[in-house]
Amino acid sequence: MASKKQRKKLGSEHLMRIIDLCESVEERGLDPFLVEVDDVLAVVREYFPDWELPEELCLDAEAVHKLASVIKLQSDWIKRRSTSLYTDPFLLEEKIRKLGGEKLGTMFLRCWHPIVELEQISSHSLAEAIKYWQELLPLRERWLDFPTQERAIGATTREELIGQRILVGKAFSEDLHVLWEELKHRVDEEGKIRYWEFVEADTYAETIKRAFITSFLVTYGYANLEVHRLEEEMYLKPFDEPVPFLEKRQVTSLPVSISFDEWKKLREANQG
Amino acid sequence: MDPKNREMIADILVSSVRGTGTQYLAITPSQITFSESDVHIVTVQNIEGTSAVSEVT
Repeated sequence: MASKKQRKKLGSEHLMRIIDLCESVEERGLDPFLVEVDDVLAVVREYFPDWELPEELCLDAEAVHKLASVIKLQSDWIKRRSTSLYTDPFLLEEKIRKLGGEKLGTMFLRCWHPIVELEQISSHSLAEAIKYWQELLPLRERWLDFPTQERAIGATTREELIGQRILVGKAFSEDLHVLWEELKHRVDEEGKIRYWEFVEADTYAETIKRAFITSFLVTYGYANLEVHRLEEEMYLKPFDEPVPFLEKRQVTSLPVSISFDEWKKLREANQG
Repeated sequence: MDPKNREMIADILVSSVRGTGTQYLAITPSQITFSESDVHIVTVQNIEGTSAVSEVT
C-alpha cells in the first residue's frame, strides 16, 4: 500500500491534470463534453479525505471550481443548441433517409415556389402588329442583292508596287542580317561598340532606320545592349549565333529617344 | 505585328500551303512581305471613292 506522502503526491498530480484539462477546454473553446464530469468528480472525491494542509485544500477547491466552469460551458452549449433552431446535420440526414418517396415529394411541393412569367398583348398592340405585317414589302423585294458594278481588272508589276510601298522589295530579315554582320565587324577588342557610334548615319532618316533595325537585333537575340547608367553610355555586343528569346534571363524594355536635335549634336560632336 | 514577325508568318503561310494543291487567300491592309514568285497578288485601292483593282503580272 502506498504511503500517505506518495498518495498525496499522486492526488496532487491528478488534481493538476484536472485543472489543466478544464483550463484548456475553457481557453481554447474545445468541446466541453470532452470532460467526463462523473469520472473527474470521482477522482476528486477519492483524494479529498487525504487533504490536511491549506495548500492541498486550495488545490482541491480550484479543481472543483474549474470543473464547475466546464459544467457551465456544457449548460450554455445545450441552451444554445436547443433555442437557436440548430439541427445536427447527421440527425437531419437520418430523417431524410427515413422519409419515403411520397413524403419527400409532398415536402418538395410545399417548399417549391417556381417563378412564373406572364405576358399579355393588348388589342391596340395587336392592331399595330397586324398593320406592320400588312405593310411589309414582299420578300423578293426586301432581299434584293446589293447593287454591284463590274470593274475591269488592271495590271501592275512588282516594281510598281514596291514603288508604292505596298510590296516590300527586300525581306526585312535580309536587312537584319546585313546590319548584324556589320555590327560583328565593327566591334572593338572587347567585342562591343558604342550604341550611338553604330546607329549614327549621314542623314537623320538613315539613323532612325539603323536604330529601328538595331532594336530588332537586340530583341531577337542577335546582340545584347549593355547600359552603363553612371557613365550614361550604351554598348552593343553582338552574339556569334542568335540567342533564342526564351533563354534570356531577364527581358526589359528600354526606350531610346532619337530626336533631330540630338542627332545633330551627335554629328557635330563626331565631326568636331 | 512587327516586320520580322509579319515576314515569318507570311513564310509559314506559304510553306504550309505549298504542294498541297489548295489555294489560300490572305487579305491584309498592311504592307505585303511575300517574296515568293508563285504568290498571286491582287490589290484593291480606294481612289476617289472608286475601287481600283490591279493584278500583278
